Formats: sequence, C-alpha cells, structure tokens
Amino acid sequence: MKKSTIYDRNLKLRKEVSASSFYFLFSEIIQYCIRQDIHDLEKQLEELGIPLGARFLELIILREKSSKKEITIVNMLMLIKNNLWPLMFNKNNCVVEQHMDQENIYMIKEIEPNMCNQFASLPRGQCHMNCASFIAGIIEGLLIAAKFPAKVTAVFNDSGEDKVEEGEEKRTVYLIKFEDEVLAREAKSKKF
Amino acid sequence: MFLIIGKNDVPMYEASLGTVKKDIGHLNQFIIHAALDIVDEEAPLSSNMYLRTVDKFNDLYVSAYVTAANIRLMLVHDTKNEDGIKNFFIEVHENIVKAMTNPLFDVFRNFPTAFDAKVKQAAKKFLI
Repeated sequence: MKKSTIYDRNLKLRKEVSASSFYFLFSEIIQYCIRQDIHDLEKQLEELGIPLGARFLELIILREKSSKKEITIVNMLMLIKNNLWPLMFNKNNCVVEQHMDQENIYMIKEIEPNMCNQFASLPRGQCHMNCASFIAGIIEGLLIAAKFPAKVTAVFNDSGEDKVEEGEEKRTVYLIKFEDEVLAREAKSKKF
Repeated sequence: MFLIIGKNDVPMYEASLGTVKKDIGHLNQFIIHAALDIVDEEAPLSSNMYLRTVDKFNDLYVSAYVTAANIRLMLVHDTKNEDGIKNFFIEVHENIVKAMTNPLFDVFRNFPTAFDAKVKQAAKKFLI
C-alpha cells in the first residue's frame, strides 16, 4: 500500500481559508506575543512573517509567473502588488509609490484597512502599535529571499488626504527601504 | 553528482545520480563549489532560472538552475543533455517548493526521505 506524500499533491490548486479561521489564529498569535514581551509586539510579528515571505515568493513565481524571476525593483514591487496581495487577501487593493525625496524608499499604501488590524483594538492612548507588522514581515521576507535586501515597516497613514472618522480603522502604509547594494545593482544594469 | 545549495552557501541535499562515469570521489563537491561564484554572478543578470552549462572542469560540465528564493541546483555531468537536464531541474524545483510548504522546513535543514525518492525518480525519467 503506497502512502501518498505531500509530493504527490498538486501545487497549482488554489484553496481558500475562511477569514474567521485566520482571525481566530491571529488573535491567539497576538496574545502569545503580548505575553512574551508587550513592547516588542511589532518586532515579534515581523519575525513571524519573514519565513513566510520566501515561501510566497516561490509559490507566486511557480504558479503565476511561469518560472521567470524578477530582477528589477519596479518589477518586484509590481509582483507584490499584482500577485501577492490577491494571493493573500483575494483583492488587489493597494497602491505602490516612490518616496519624493529619497529614492531608496518605496511605499505601499492600502486603500482599505487590512485584515490584521480589522478587529485589533489598542488601549486608548497607548503607543501606535500596528498589527500589520505581520504583513510587513511577509513582504520583507519575500524581498530578502529575492535578493533585494530591504527593511519594511508598517505605519498608520495619518496624513491629511483621507480623513478617517472616529471609530473607523486607520489604513496602513508599508515603508520599504532598500539597501544601497540594490540601488547600485539597478544603476549598473541600467547602464547596459 | 547533484547538489542543492541554500542560504549562506550551505549544501542542503546531495545525491549521485550516475551522471559522471568515472569515479572521482569528493572531487565532485570541489568542482561544484568552484562553479558557485560563476552562478552567483550570472543569476541576477537573467530572469531565466535555468542557466545551462556555467562551468567546465577538464571534461566535466557543470549545469546550474537558480530558483526565485536563490536556492541553487547544480549538476556535474559528462555528456551534454540540455533539455533533459532542464526538465530534471524543473521537476526537482517543484518538489522543493512542495517541501517548503512545511512550516518546519527551514529548521530541519534536511530534506525528508520521500524527497530523495522523488529526485531519483526524476533522474531516471530525464537523465538517462
């Protein structure tokens, strides 16, 4: 009797998980992290997300990019916007922008508040801890695995354009700061 | 000899698949190690994963395939068989991604035995 292993299963099959199961698991994760060290919640969530990034990268490239790697910054960010977001949330609702003054910082802005912050409420007056650091960790893991060393942080979008009403969740902006070697490599490849 | 090299240039998996006729023992690993630099140079330049034959040592060829997460698959062989080797690499790549879906994978740093069977099966199919 041959046992079926994980290698016999199809990789291209897309399965969906209900949002409730995700919220259930995520709330337990946050409670666990708070018990460990409440002040370092964001850092712990990021560290949890990093190993996921490499796996997402391999899956996306295998399934949707027919095994062609991305080697430029712009293409990689487009991969995150067009492939990673629909894979994680089934919606393509984010905008990618480059920072005005510093050319090594890119921003991914959300259009709607994301799943991690949807039901997470912070004690009034407490520091601005953003549970979307989990997603920031995933993005960072993805970029590091793809050889684009970067630091990704999730911050709340408090700036003027869309005023958030009281009680509505704030939207997040993911700041991606690439290391110098990535920019140097881009500049060198543009010369050819 | 077939080697899978992961982060920090640490070999994650090794197998001799009968692609080198004469017996040169540990020289195989040296050959692959020497070709690593060339692979690292060529990988960021091309969006293809299969890098064909990257290096030659006496009469042995080294072929390489780099996945999106920078896992390098390298094979020492003495006969040119580009299509067969490319299909072999693609098959092993799919099995690697399946193994990666295990959340405990990195911690073990070793592929399980079922993976070994799959690699041997792919070798029999594509690398005569």
